[in-house]
Amino acid sequence: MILQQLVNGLIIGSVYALIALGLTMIYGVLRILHVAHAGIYALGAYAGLVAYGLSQSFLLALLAAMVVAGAAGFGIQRYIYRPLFGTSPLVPLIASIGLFIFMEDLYRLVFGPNIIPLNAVWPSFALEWRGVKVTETQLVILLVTGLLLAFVWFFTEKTRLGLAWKAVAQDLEIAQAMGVNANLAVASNVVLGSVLAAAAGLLVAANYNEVYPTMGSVPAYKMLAIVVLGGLGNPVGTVLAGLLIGLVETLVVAYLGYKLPRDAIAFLALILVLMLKPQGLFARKGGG
Amino acid sequence: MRVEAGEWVSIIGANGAGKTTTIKTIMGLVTARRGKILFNGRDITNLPPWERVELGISYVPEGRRIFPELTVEENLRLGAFRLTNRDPRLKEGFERVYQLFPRLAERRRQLGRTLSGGEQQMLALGRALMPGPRLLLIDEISMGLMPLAVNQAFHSLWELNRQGMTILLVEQNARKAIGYATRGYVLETGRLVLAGTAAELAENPRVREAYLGG
Repeated sequence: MILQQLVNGLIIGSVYALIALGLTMIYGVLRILHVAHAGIYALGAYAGLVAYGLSQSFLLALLAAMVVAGAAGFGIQRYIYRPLFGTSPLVPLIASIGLFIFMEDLYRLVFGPNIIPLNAVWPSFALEWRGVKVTETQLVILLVTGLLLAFVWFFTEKTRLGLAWKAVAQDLEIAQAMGVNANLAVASNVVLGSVLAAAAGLLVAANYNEVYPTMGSVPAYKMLAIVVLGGLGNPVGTVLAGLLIGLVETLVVAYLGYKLPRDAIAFLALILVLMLKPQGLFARKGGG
Repeated sequence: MRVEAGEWVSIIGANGAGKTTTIKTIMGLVTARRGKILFNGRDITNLPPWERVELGISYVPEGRRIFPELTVEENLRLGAFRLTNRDPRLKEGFERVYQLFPRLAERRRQLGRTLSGGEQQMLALGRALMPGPRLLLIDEISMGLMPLAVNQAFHSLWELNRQGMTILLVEQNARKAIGYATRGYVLETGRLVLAGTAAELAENPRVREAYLGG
């Protein structure tokens, strides 16, 4: 029983990790709390919904979601954040919140206010081992998040562009003076972050079989909590914090029931961490 | 203002005279409000900094500004960011810098923030040398360094200049800046007020009084 809960918790946690990782990457290079990231998450679900309806292929739906979200992310950094560069940090934050509200209402206008089921159909390949069951959807989630996390790791640690992201995150001005094309570094980073959010959105839509305009609202707050827990701008810490929150939520619900609302747990953790270790759970000693 | 190939030109001036702004404008980090910047006869006034790097301009910033959370090797790699991993000039760059500063080779895998001030200055200079630049822009190389490290830094520059590197240096330590230079300029509240060879400046009564301590 506990093993089953651990598996469930890690799987939902891996989705949290995916969406929060995108947010923390974008914060790293732009120093903007990109609240509209949750709008991109819902956009991924809607784009996937439409593409799945047309193609009946989850793989194509996933690709479509990532392409649409990547393009939207590019547009947001190019036409909203870049013109606001150099203003007080509050200005892009407010712009981001406004954009998020706009996106939710746009989805309502286009797709209506109701929950639309995704109805993804898989070939059956559920696993069962000693009573621990992993459903088809869960396996798909594990596979996709695992691949994407590995891809991001490879990209940031092993490529020139990844090095450019780190340099921009640490010192934008000097990175440019070393020959890093700052526009390209920022744009590529936001595009990849948005791709992760879109994948997370579609995976969650598949998991609960629902797509609706405000599906990004709770993740919007939760991803902020996770990113702060992980130490703002720290990708490894963020992934760990995402997994941790997924686990704790699942275990609390399983063993304490709904006395404590599931979605409150991340914030409880956030409050505790802010009080006891404000630099985040996984902050490095002396690191900035 | 002019800098000829192979020269060492120093700009001296008090705090707030516009020395750093001058250097940053040449690097492209500050936009020029008026006037033009020519490099090898080409107008670069509107080029972004990363394209100026490609033309052969390198920058050693005030306060060193090495990347604290990157290793020494990664810092140097960034200095030659425009070169792809397969470019033979990248390997040459590493060899050149490690030969000039063997200490950096020893500390290759250490994070930038764990280096001493003098080592960080070596790293900032080495990073700027990685792409094999034609012009080195140097902002306050002596700032925050112990006298011994200041001497070492100036000695490294002297050696580079002797081998043909063109240097434009801004510096509050006027004595050293003029002592090593071919020519110099004096900047006061954003204006060039004096220009001359290093010897002329060193003899100038105004410079002597204001910058060389009488």
